[in-house]
Amino acid sequence: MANKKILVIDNEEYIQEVTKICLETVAGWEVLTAGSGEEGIAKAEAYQPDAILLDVMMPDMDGFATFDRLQAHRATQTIPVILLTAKIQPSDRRRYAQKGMTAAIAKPFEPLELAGQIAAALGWSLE
Amino acid sequence: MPHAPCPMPHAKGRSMKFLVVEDDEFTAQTITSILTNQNYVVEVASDGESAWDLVETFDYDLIILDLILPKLDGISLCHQIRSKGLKTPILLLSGRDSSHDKAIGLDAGADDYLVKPFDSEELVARVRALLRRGGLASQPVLAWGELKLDPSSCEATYAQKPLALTPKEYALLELFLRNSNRVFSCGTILDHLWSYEDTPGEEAVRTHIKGLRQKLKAAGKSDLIETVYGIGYRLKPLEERGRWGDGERGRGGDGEQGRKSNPKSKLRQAQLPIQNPKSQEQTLSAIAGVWHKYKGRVAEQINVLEQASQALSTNTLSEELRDAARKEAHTLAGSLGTFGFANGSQLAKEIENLLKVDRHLTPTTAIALHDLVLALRRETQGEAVDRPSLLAVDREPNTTHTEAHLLAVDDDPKILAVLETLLNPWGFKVTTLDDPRRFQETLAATSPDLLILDIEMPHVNGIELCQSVRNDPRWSDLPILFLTVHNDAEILERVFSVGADDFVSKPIVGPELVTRIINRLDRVKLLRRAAQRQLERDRVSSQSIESLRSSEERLRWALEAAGIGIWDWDLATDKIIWSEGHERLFGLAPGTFDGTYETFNNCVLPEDRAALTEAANVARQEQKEYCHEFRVVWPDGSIHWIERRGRFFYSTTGEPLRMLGTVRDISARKLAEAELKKSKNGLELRVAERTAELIKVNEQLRSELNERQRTQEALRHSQALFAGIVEIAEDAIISIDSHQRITLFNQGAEKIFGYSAAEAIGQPLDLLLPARFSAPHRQHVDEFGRSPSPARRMGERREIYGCHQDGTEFPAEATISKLNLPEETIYTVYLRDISDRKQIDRMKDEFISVVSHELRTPLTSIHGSLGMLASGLLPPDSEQAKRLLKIATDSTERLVRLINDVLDIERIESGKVKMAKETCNVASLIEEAVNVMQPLANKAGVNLVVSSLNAEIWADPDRIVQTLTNLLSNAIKFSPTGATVWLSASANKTDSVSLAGANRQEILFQVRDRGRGIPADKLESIFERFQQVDSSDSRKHEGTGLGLAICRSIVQQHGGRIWVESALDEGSTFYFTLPTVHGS
Repeated sequence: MANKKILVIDNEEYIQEVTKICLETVAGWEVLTAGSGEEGIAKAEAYQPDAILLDVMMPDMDGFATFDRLQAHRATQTIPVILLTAKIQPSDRRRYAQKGMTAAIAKPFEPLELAGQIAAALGWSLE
Repeated sequence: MPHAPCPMPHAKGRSMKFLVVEDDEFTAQTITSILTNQNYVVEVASDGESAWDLVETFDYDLIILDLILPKLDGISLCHQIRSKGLKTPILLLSGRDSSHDKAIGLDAGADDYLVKPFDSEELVARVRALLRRGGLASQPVLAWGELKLDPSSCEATYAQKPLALTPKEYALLELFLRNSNRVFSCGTILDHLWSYEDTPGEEAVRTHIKGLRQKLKAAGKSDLIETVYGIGYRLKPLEERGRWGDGERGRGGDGEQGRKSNPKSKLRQAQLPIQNPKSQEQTLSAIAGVWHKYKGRVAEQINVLEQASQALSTNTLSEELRDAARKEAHTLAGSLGTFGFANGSQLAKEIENLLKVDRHLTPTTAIALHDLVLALRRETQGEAVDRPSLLAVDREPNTTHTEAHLLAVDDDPKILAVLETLLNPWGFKVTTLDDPRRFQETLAATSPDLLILDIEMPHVNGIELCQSVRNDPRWSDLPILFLTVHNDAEILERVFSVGADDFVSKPIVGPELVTRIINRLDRVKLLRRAAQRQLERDRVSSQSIESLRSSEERLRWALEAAGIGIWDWDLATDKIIWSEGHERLFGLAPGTFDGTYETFNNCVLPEDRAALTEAANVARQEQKEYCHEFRVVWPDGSIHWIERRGRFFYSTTGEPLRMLGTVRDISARKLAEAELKKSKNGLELRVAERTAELIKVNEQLRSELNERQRTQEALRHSQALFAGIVEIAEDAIISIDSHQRITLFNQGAEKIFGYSAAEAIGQPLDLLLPARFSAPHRQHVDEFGRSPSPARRMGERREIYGCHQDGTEFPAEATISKLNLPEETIYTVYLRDISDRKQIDRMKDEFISVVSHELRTPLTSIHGSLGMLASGLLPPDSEQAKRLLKIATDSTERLVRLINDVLDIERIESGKVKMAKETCNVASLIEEAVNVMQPLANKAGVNLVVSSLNAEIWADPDRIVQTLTNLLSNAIKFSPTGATVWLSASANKTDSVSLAGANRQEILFQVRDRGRGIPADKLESIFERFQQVDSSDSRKHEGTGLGLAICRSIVQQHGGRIWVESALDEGSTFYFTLPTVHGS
């Protein structure tokens, strides 16, 4: 599973850092980070990650707008996107699913379980 | 009275008179109005018998007859009319559309049949058709010289100029034109142009004639209508008007006869549509026949005259012969003219004159007589010089039935024969009598409608016959026409004094005789009509007399019953008569009063006698009614009050003859008066009490009234108040009726929806709702309306959407209530615009969402870091572990700051934290803030430049320092290393005025940096919570996003203002003001 490449898009540097350490340490995945939607789209296109962890509340371009842009782009539209958001109601999950998002994970997340949640959502297995 | 044939041709519309026999008032009225509308004159009879009376009395042009009638049914009446030989067209009306009925009706003599209900158009058409049958096939234009009358267009013209005639004038003119040779009496005209009900006086006819003449005169014809004195009016014959045209004169050149009988004149034929020259010729030849028959008799009469002449010449004329000759002369004078020997008549008259009884006969007389007799003989041996003038009256000689029955009495059979010959063709049945001695029996046997009498007859002369007729009440109305040779004043006076109605001079001139007979008969008709009315009046009057008589008896009885006595004092004989009642009132037995004044006086109480006598004297002297009250003493000694009334009756010289009056017992009244007087005082007291009571009640009423007025006033005030409250309420108050139409729309509603009340009232409620809510809302109101409760709130407030006039929607909160009134159900909607509240709610949600995010962000870092550290997956000395520890520490600090700031701003804005204000020195506050921030500035390598001010302000020093440090902290954080941040304070005058009247002083603080600047669109919003220019600032610069919001709250709590001026990449300057101590 070490070959998995994950892109984390979050405007909070500390969260990027903590997420990166979590996923690298627990799952051994390669983690790229981006501080804004714009940067994230560029990196997704450039590095073709296996999945994107996308924060919702970001200034300038929020998570939904970023998702739409990723979907609109041929190079990025097939990359699974998992939302990282504070607000998750059952209705939100349905809404996200309808939009084509793979999963949503609430903040604050459990650092040791995050990789497992992502793998489960994507059908990956963790060794 | 026999029926006269219709005197007029049947023509469309004008002057036609119909009889409608119909017992159903409504149908009769309908027919009357239809026919009147067509200018026919209509009379109505409601039963068969009265219809028959009318048919017998008047001429009708058409009879409209209902089949089923009271008294005499339609079929029987029809039979009766036809059996009398009347040819008047009859239109039968019936509700039964049965062929059998029709057949019976037509067989009975009806001319047409119409089934009810009928169509007015059909009725009029059938009437016209019936009228055509009896008249001309087509309607000619009636003409008389240049005068033309077109009945189809109802227009009259003279010399082609239209005449503006009234309907009656037109009808008059048409009547004359259609009967151009007839003389119409006023009565005849009335009969033709007015209905029986409407008949006015003859004066009306004269007025219309006058009007017609004036209009003709204005058109150029002044004397078209001629007055025939004593008879009536007619058209003036054309021939007397040579200027009317040569053709006319040419045809009419042979005088009256030619005018009337020239059959070749087409114009004549049109004017005189029923002229029948043949019958005239027949009449003339009949007269000629009479002449030949009596020619021998005339010769014999002249023989008698010759004998007398000879006898006179020989002076042997006996009285007998003289008398016989005079009589023969008289007879000849009367008859010869009639046969066309006018000159012969004149000669005979002169002979009669010579032989008059009182005339002295001389030889000269003998010669004159001889010559006259000779001339007469010659005259009668030749042919008649003049043809008898016969046919002046335009009536079709009618031999089928009798117009009238005449009795002619003349000793001259020639005259009688001529009368018969002349009058028979006109429908007059003439009974002749040459022996006046048989007059009475003949009169009784024939019952004539008119009597023609000769004056001089043997045995009994005409004057005596007339007298005897007039003395017999049965014949008092019989018209009597005298035939007389002598029309001198004396004879005429005698004739009229014995009751004759008219006279015709011999020789008989046919036109005059016929006209006068017809005229007389017309008058009789009128008289009978008048008599009938009189009879009716008499009947009423005799009833009155009878009732008067019985009422007199009743009065007498009533007087007695009322206890009133009557007395009658004959002053001449001094005798007094008392009624029984009077005696009773004086205590006397009936019949015992002896009739003397003395007895009466003795009955009177002695002390009342003088006054009684005095009262009577005064009444007599002043000729006034007398009334006196006195007491009488009855034989049993009891005293009774009497009221005596009376009056004197005086002779022509003023002497009192009699005194008449009444007495009645007024003891009871006197007693009552005494009682009354006695109780008067007590009564006055009671009245006073009652008045006081009334005053009290009145005051109470007034007070109640005032109270009611006050209540009403309060009610009015309350209503006004209520209306005012409704009107000015912030919320919309809208009433709708059961059809959901707006009936009330207050100011609040106007403000919220944007419509004026005038625009909204009457509109459906849908006007105020977005289209998609109309149907559900309507259903909602309907369901609510059906709920049983008469008046209740519809339930809790509901959030709905309203629609502004401009079409934009807005959220609203509404409740609805209904009020079931007896007449209708009123719904009232109370609605509030909740746009602002919704906005606040949204902001609150957003705030919570932002706070939640802001809290979760550091928490996520803390939780993640500590989780990883605690897992033991990372060696504690590893870089990653150290890094995670740092993240957890920083994030925790950030979380604390955030929580402090959130709590701080919440407390300041909610007013939970009071500003602890005190007098502070501006310089001190600046110094303190700079001291706090200097380390940060130093750390960032930023220079702080301060320009202080020594001034006092009224403020919470901690909060002002907090504000300054916040602003300085931001300025330092966003300044690049080596840059300068300026802080200054200066006194500033404001435009506002303090209570003391001076301009307020304030301190203006400025914090200026050379940082990156703020975009123009964020200059306002950066003072809102969590509205950093860049959200990464909170991480990079350790901000919470709440600093400026807190600054704004503090400044505002001090009554100051805060704002920012900035240019991108040049830096920003934050300003805030605080009032000085003096100023505040």
